[in-house]
Amino acid sequence: MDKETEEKIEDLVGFIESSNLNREDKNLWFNAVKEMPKEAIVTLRLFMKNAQEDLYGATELMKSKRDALLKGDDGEFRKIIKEEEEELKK
Amino acid sequence: MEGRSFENPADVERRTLSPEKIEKVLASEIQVLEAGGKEEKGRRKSLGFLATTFGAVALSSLNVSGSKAEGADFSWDNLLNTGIGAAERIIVEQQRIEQERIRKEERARREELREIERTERAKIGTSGKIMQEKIRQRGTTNRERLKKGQSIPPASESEVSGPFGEIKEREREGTDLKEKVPALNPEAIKEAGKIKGAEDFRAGLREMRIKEGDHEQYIVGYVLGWMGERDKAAREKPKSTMPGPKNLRF
Repeated sequence: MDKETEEKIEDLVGFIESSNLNREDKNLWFNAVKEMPKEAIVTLRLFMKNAQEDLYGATELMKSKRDALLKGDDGEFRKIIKEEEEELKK
Repeated sequence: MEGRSFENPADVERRTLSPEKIEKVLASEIQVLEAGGKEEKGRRKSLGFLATTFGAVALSSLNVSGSKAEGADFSWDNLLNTGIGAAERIIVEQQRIEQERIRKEERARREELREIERTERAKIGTSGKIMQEKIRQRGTTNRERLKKGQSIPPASESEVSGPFGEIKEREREGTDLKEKVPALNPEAIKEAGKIKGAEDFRAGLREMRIKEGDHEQYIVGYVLGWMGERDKAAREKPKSTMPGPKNLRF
């Protein structure tokens, strides 16, 4: 792993670890990170740092999306993104 | 951990997750994100949404058709391609904000220096007046007194002793304290985490073993160790499904 990616992973892990999420939710993000290609990790780091106002809400949303994907329930997933769409219009 | 076990037979249904379905639902997500990126508030929200999708896709790919599905790779490509545009916009925006911050700091620093200079000038002006008054009272300057062989009044001798002796004492105390309480070495802690993370990956664990109370540097090291080992394993398997669009710039 190159030094730059390593530093970005360190930064992202440090950011999640120092958040006020509970242990279970922090681990959930870490387990997600370990499944990602490195390009996704550096992008995620950028996204999380720019959208850090509600990490708890983001984690809950991630769980809902994950569950929909795991069930292969694209109807449920569509419902979630419809809600996101509504949220963005506010 | 996350509440449900990836080994649970009840979760076998998730193995039916079709990459086409992922692709389909992500396409909708991408539309939403592209639509929501204009204003600052909307942009932040949409970034948060994208982050959650990244996480959700990663977690849902944990148990699909073995380690990774070809279709899931495609989803990553899809996601990343969308993410790059947003990421580039953020980088440009952050650079602009950073430059503005630097300009403001420079302005403030210049102002501060001017203020210091003004104060110093005022002080010099005041002390000059005091000195002139002392000379007037004594009738001669120290230099003239020395020339005449007269002694310099003690009050006007320059102070040769400073506060350094005291500082040395403090430094000594600090050294003693360091010797008594050896500091934890974050690098060593991180290294221990790396070793454990790599071990757990090699042992074939599906989920990371991070406990409450683990040192932050240990966790950082653990994730790095795990991922380093994962990358190594991927390199050893040329046909690995680990994705990686080639045209990313970070």
